[in-house]
Amino acid sequence: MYTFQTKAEVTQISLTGARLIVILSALMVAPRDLSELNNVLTECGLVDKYYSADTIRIAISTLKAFGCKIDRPCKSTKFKYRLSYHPFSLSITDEEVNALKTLYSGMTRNGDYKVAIQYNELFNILIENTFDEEAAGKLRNITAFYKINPNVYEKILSEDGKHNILTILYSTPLKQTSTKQFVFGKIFLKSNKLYVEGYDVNINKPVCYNLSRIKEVIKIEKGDSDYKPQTCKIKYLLRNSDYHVISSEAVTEKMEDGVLKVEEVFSNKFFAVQHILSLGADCTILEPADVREDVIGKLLELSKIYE
Amino acid sequence: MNKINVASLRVLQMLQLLFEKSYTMNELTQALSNVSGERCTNFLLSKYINTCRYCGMDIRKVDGKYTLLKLPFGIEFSDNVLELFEKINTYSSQMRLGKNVRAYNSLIAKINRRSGRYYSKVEVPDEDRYIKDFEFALENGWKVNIKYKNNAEIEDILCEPLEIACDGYKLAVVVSYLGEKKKILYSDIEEITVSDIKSSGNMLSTSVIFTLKNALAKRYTLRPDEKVVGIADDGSITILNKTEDKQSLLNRLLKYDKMCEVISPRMYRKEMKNLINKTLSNYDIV
Repeated sequence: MYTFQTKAEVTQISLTGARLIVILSALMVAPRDLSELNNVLTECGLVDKYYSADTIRIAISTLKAFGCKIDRPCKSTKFKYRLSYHPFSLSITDEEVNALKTLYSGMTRNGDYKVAIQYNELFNILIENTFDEEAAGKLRNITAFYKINPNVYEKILSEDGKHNILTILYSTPLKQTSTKQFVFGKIFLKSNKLYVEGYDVNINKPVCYNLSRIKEVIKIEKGDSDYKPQTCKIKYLLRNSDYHVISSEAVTEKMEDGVLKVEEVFSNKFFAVQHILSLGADCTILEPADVREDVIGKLLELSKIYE
Repeated sequence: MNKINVASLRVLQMLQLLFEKSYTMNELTQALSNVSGERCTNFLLSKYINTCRYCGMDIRKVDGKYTLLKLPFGIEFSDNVLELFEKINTYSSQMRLGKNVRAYNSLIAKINRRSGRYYSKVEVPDEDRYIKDFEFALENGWKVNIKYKNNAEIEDILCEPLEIACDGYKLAVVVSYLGEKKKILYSDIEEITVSDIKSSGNMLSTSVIFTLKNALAKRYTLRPDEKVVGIADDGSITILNKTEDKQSLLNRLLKYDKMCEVISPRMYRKEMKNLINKTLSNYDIV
């Protein structure tokens, strides 16, 4: 934790002061009991003998007098001293949360899930280091990945790119829970939600699951390393392209009249159709024919609603 | 009262003072005496500073003042997050995010004081006059005049500033105009001037109501400032949206196809109908 300078380098120090700093920093990392605190003090080389329990207790009282909140050791804390607040803790202002939110939404707008995951990791570290519950809540809400079961989150992330066969317990939007088995394709981010796409070997169809609806990863079996996820590749014309966000992986070609010709790959037809519709009148889908027909069909159905 | 060790308490109190700002020896002696209620001498203070340095804290004299540069415990980031910091630096250097970059940098400065490593701040690009004026108007409650390209024409509007936003790698200003939220791409802006008219404060008056049906009603995640105002027996939900800009909202609702219907205001229903017809005309169907 520390690299202490030698006493030759620094003279006239307060050993009790140094002891208190070490104890505070040890409690910042994790709750500890008397013997663990003594171990930290000897392991870091500050002292070469154990302190009495009373000496450590005086240090704890001094930390409390300084403004630290330290829970008494009891059964619920596994008889360890637990630091629940200290005056050096990180305070995060509303402006700082908003800045992170603006950066996050700007940088993930094109569906870069790896950046979203990195942000989530950053937010978790900031949350761990602040006692400001309000700021922590706001940070949690930016990615909203807290809705994903942490075990599922870790297992799914570790499976990215392996194409193993996963058996999961999945809850549909209509709250029906069922077991699904699929070859893992890839992870993607859409509307600030993480999805995993793959291929269901039982129904022979490409599938896509929202991570926050996966209740459990039941089984992971060795899959097909040659597996290539089925995708839906579309071509379309886009006018006023400055007003729209397209994936960073899309291939674009600027036409003479300023119109953009875009070739983009989606996990499935549903997402492709949704994307085309969201571009409104600025977009004309060229191919494939079935997606084009779907888009036209949906627009015709919609026009009846607004008659 | 429990026994405490006064000398060690003073070390932490001094550290806390340095955590907030830099001090000369005399200022720090005085400040610590005020905090502790006991007279602190230069000798004691040097001892406390040495104690902190001994524990690895980087306390140096900068411009004649004791300055805490580093606290060697606290926040540690993984390689993943370090990579993210690099990406944020690259991203921000391409954008003119004004106060957002300053706020991000202030957070990084706080993190640096609590970490054993140094994380670099984002280099603030040359302050853009229009962004600066927009932020000034936003902070001080003035309306702004914005001259911008709207298709082939130049429009000049008097509006209330709401925020600066990123749309991917595009910067935009968001304003309230005629009771509606409007996003204007920075690249389309010709000029922003701060007016001498105060903002009303009650800026957005248009409330849009739409219904969602079937599975979408179950899986829909409410946006900030959206609320459910009704649930029907068949599970359909009615949502009130107050703050999304018109074009973004209509385009977003269009993608939900027949599972979504705009209910009010009538003008929005009419605009949705126009949007559908205009989109159909791309396929020679009207």
